Amino acid sequence: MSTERAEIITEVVALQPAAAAATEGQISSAAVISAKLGSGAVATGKERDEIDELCRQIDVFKRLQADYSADWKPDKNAPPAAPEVVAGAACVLLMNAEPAAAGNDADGWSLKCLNSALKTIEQNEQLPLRAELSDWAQRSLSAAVASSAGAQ
Amino acid sequence: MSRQIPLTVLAWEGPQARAYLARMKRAGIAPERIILMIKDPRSGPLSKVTGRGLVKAEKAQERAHNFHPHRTRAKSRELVAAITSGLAGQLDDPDGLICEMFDSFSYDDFGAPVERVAVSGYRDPALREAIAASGAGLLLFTGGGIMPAEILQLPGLRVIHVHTGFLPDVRGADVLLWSLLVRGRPGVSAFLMTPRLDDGDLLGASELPPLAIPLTAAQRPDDPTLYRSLFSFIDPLLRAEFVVSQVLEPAIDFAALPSRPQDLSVGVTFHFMAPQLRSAALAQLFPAA
Repeated sequence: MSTERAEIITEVVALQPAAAAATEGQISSAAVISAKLGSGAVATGKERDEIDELCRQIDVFKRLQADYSADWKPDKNAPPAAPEVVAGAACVLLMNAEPAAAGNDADGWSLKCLNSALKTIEQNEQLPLRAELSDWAQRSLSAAVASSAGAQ
Repeated sequence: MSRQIPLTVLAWEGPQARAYLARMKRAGIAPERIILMIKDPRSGPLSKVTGRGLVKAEKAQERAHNFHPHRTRAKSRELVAAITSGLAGQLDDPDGLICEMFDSFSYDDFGAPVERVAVSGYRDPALREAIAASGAGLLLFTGGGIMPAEILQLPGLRVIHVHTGFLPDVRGADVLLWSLLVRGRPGVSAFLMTPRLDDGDLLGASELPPLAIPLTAAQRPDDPTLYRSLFSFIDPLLRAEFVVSQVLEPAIDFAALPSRPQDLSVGVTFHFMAPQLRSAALAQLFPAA
């Protein structure tokens, strides 16, 4: 039996590390993801920018770093984000993928979030709550594909 | 008799460059020159392959870069037949174009001088030097890598890129599949390249009729083969049809091709699809017959 979405979010939120004081000029992945988890809302407008950056890091560079410079430039020597934070990123992406599953994703941005969530789960075998996140992603994928096919 | 146009085709060996040239030939258009990039098997900037070595490298490149279309045509004839049948709603005689692309193809058969340049890739200074020395004003990019700013910023040079997504809405990678999933139909756009991703001024953009290529269970190969067939035949032919019919054929003054800026406040930049999503998109493109 699948774990409900709300339960997964609660568990992922509980896993997040306490926010460390941000270094000036640095972006903390943990802080960004905690804020997105806390808001619980699907991003719109400029709120999408940070999630687009998370997608770019996952899709293009195949990893999330613990911290970034202000322009999100990847640094292969930088330490990776903690697995709990990566699980938080997957959860944020799945929350933002929900309009695609509901057939309410006119520009495809939610489907893009689902794509990055699928990759995050695939790329990180040691992800906390991996099975639950994967199950959520598969359910979202099935619903999104059914919505897409039904709309055409 | 072909009409020669002031366009240089920067050919990166493979289906895309071949589709452009085959479609231009069908339209009675010849570029003023072709610069054929040949992957230099030697390392180091001072030891360029030349003479018979260059001929050998060109042949090796021809085999490597066209391996999948040749193999698909040999091993999956019914798939290729279904693709040409499906594409017939988008362009004339796709089967003939595919034959032109892969049967006895030679870059020397398109009414334009061919300059063969041994390079390690787009960042090789020899490529920039070759383009600068050619005096090209308008260049058609045919893929194979990221065009560096050093080339794009050559004085007087404008570089056309064709993208299988409707701009500015669909940017990024795997855009033909994203277009099918998100918008229910393919889109194609031609724009003038900048050092940034898919943000140059548009020469044209269209959404095409929905595209579906029904396959029986017997015709249907695995997803990796379907994905490769997309880039062997479908994607190159859609791009070629668009740029030739919508940009090159109607053009009167190539020095002042009409273009318009994109609205960069809209649109989504997509990335390569995860296998699960790619499988769903391929199922829409290749539904069960």
